[in-house]
Amino acid sequence: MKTIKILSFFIILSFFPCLTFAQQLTQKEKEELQIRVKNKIEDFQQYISQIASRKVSPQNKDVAIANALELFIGKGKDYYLTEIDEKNGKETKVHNDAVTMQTAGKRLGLHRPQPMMDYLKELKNKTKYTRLVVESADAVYVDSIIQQLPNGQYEGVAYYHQKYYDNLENRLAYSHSLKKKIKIIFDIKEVPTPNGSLKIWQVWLGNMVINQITT
Amino acid sequence: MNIKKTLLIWGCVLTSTYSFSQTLHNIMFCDTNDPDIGESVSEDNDRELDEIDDIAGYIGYKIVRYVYNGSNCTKSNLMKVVNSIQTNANDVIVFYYSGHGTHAPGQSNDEFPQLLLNSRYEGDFVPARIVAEQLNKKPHGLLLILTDCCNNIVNGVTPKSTLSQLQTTTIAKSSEAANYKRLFMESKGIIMATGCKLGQTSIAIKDGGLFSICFWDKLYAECSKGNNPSWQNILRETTKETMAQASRFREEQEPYFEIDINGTNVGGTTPVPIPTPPAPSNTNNHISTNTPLTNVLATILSKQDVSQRLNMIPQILNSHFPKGGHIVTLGRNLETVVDYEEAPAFFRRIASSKKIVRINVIKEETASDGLPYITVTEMRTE
Repeated sequence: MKTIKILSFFIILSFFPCLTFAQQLTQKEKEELQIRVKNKIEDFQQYISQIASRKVSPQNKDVAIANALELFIGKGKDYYLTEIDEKNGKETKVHNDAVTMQTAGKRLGLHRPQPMMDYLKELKNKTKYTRLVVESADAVYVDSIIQQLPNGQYEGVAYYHQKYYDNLENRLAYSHSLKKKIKIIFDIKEVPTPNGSLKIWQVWLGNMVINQITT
Repeated sequence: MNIKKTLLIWGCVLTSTYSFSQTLHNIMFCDTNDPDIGESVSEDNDRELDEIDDIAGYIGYKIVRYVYNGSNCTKSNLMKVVNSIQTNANDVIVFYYSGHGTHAPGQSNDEFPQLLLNSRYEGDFVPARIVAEQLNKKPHGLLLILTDCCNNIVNGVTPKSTLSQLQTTTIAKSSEAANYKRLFMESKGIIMATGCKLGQTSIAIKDGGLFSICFWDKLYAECSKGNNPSWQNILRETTKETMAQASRFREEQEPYFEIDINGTNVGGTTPVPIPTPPAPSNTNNHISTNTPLTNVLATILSKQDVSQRLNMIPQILNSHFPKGGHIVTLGRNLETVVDYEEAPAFFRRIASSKKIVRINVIKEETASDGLPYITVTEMRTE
């Protein structure tokens, strides 16, 4: 391989470059971070329920959207990978599109994935969902297989269930259950600490696709 | 206590060859006034008094109590008692503490906590080890030191108990009395047990401290099953049960104990010298107790309404993070960093969450960038 990809996100507003060389996730770290993945997906489920609910104020829906976007790599915006040329050490920023969400239509056809931010805003403005019910927290499943990529980053997958109820004028017009598959990214970041700096692993949610539809 | 049990206990008292010739000294310090955990500690206070009544009845000792709760739970009272207590050989001494506890950095050679004793001033903290060393100088048969407190920090939100099933109706049997006698009268030496290992927090629920509930339950279980009771079994079972119950709260709490009785050492390491209390911490890097930040977090989580919670955030950020700052969340092993967030995002997340029931502030420090660097753990419901 001519280049080593080093993930460092240069999201428009944020972050120091991340150095991902050589650092390995220990088994203990994997176990702890997998629990965190589950927490984050549960949080995401809660946020989308709030965003879709008619009972939640627009202001609080905006907070839920902001919270949800914090969970994703790039925080809902485009992000950049840095490639370093092994020969001359020159860095090149490589553009990556914002994380996406795939949804299903009324006839249960699959839609083209849309940017997460658009999905969440659309969900907020849709009034047809009176309830967006998450099946249960136990429905979150984090695959134990986490693989390290050549750039040092780790990737895994997780699954969760979501139930949609479309309740127009007290008549159940449409409902379905989706099993969604989420890409999980474990990335390293160097942060300032009281004693200098520390490299820590961060858990990010990535693209979400529909894995299964049940009516 | 039911009639049958009362009669049997008094029967034991009246027939005991030791009747009133020996004493069970019960030294109890309970921080029942604490705004966060006082309610839970009050339960520990009452339970301990009941249990000691029962034990003294079973073994036929008279009780001399040294009970310090509420505003009397202080270092000066503690030192006064441990220095002045008059005991005889074969007397049983039970020291019990329920309240906040902490551990000084760099004291990994001593697994036992320092007792905060209703104070937030570090000079008032007393290492449990010092209490043990002082009491061990007095003549005694069994010396039992029990401390139910954190070994780092306690924040006092008390999740609803799931332990009521543990409360069993006790029916006294003569074999129980024999077992209590074996444990309390035939054991000579010292036992120290504390609610959690170094670095861990100790859970306080509505019904009392998790460790205390499990300890008294397992003591009774061991004595009621007949045959050959042992402190080792009791403390092992207490440890197992406490860990199992703590996991229901998605927390890790593993009690720690050392047994040195009748010439046998079990658990822990060999006794270590009395640790020197830590120097007062500076303002930038210190282990938190009830700092304004921990109180703010407890206040946020005590509100049911998300809007109310969110409305508190701007003022919190202005007061505690005027120039920004970061929150580092540790995993259940208290080592692995599982989240690193900017303060506004952290507070927004906490305020919006229906799952987070408690935030433990482990440390409040300043990072090399000059911004606050707060280390926390979070406790979630299922």
